[in-house]
Amino acid sequence: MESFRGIVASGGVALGPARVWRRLVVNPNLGQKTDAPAEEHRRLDLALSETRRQLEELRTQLQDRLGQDHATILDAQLLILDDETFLGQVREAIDDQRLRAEAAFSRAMSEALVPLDLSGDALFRERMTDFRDVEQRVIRALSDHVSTLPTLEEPCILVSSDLTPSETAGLDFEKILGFCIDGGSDTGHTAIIARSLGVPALVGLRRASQEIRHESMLALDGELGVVHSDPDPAVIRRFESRIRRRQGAQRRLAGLQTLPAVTTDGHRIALSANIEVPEEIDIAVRNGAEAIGLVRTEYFYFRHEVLPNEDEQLGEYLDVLRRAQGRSVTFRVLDVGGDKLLAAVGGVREYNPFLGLRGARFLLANPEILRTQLRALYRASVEGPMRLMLPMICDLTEMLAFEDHARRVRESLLEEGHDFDTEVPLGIMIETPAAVAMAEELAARAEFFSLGTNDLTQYVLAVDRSNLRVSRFAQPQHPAVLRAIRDAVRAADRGRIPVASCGDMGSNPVLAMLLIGLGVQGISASAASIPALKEAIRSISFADAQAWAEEATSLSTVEEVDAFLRNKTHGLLREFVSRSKASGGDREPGDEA
Amino acid sequence: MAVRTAKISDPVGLHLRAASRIVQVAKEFQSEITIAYDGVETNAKSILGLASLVARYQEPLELRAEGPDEGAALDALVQLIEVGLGEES
Repeated sequence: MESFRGIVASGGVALGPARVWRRLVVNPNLGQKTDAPAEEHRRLDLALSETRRQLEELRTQLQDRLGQDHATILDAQLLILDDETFLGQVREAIDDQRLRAEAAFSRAMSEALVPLDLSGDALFRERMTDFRDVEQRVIRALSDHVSTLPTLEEPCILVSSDLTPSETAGLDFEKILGFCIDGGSDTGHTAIIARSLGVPALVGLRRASQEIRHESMLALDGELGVVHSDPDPAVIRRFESRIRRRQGAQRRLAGLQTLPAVTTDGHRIALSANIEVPEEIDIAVRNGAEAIGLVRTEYFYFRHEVLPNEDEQLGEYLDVLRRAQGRSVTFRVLDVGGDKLLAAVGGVREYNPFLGLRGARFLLANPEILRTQLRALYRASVEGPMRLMLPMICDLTEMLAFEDHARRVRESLLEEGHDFDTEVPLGIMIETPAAVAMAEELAARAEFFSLGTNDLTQYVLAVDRSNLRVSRFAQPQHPAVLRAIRDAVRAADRGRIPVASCGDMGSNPVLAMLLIGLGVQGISASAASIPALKEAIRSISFADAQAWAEEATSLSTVEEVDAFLRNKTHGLLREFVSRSKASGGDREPGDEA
Repeated sequence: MAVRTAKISDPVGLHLRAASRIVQVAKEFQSEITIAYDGVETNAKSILGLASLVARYQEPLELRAEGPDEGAALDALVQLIEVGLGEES
């Protein structure tokens, strides 16, 4: 038995055979040979057109932001991709020397650059970096076309150095028991997918994909962050019993998939999912989500090195709506700043980013970014029902400015003859104390509220949730937060607009009951948490939830709220309280193996 | 076949921007066009070829064109190399 330690990107336990996938790394300096030159020509063509797309995109952006002058370098780089003399040499090297496309391109480039290198002229030599940059891009693009993931025949734990979004997109999720990734981060694409699927994932395993043998048995512990290969029989038994316990609950929850989220006294709750990547929608739908309550559109921006243009965004949003199959989808417009810096727009590290240029402030300061996104979103509205939501609103001025941008976008789309839904509801996130204080006025303009409980908690309690020294104080059940939520919900009711919650608070069944008791009509939570939430909702009465919420809100300290919840939930909620605790660690002593 | 000589008007020589302009202009013509400098000849429609000439300020380039629009092609390129490039930068 051998054990590898990594960082937990998604919790859970899995036991199964390893499917090791190693990306073929082609070192252009090694001159690996090929016996299929036609395949190398095809890869080269694909890589050239991918590089052309990247450079053209970059040029458009530079031109818009800095003027024609700065785009000239890119003109020269684009010309290389059409340089028939040079490409002729590359193709010759593939045919005559049987080189792989990487090596052929790299060698032809080096030969072409010899005179520049020898010139001894600083300016000429500098120019080489621009050519080498193209070479890097082409080689990177080639590596994306090296090999595709294998089809998964049976349930397995996928082991890989890393997985790109296009690779994970092609996976059969039903066959994935867990992920073990050498690189990666807990905010990466694979981590998001794993959490949504509710399967364990470890990242940062360093050399696991080199050392774990294909088909060897793996015991993956997504609580302790360790994976054992060829585990001892005792370890296998422990894992089997942990998995059995989870499976029992999962089977029970699976039976709820088609049942409505309704309390014992008939109060209906709209249960929907938060998503970041389109594939999560499939998982959410499978888990019984009746809508997509939050699409974090940042993901569509972060996966590009440069800002995605209108048509690229349109393609992504259409994909989201298609996958939702007629369910309502609430898109939150780009929410950058704070913990999410956007390199493509020159993200600046701020001294106090959570109080800096983020959310609505960022968008209103960069109206062309907002405009492009709104155009793409409106145009996507032909595909299915949607709502648009602005993050980090503080007051009516921002709300009105947003409305104004949306109105102007609609007018120009109409003028251009585009088909779209002109009555897409415009709503706001309630996540600042200022928005709570101004909720009455905001409810008079906005068409819906969505409570962003993570940010609301950090701003109400003055706790930087990314600061490990204080993040434990970020408790959404604090009476101060509960009272802010109560006030926002009351304002929404008076303004006769719907109010839902889309923060992490709603993923916890006990805290979700408080939200429901406080009067939110919808809960949007992670796809994986939906079955347990539905079970919780179906096991209590709305009258009880209201009474608990009222009592909890009237208490003086968070400790009192915790004690109260422990008591109250003892009876009806006992089962899922123990489970929600278990999801933090259901292991037995000795599991450390 | 048309042949002309042109001296580089740009003080930094045949740098990247200048080479790009030459390629772009040359591609507007059907004729085969070559540019020779210091004994090395290259296709005028090849950016890497032009860059590898490492041609400097005031040095003469020899241009040759062959095709239906060879005269016009060399007129445009000579104009560009002797006047246009310098003006541009």
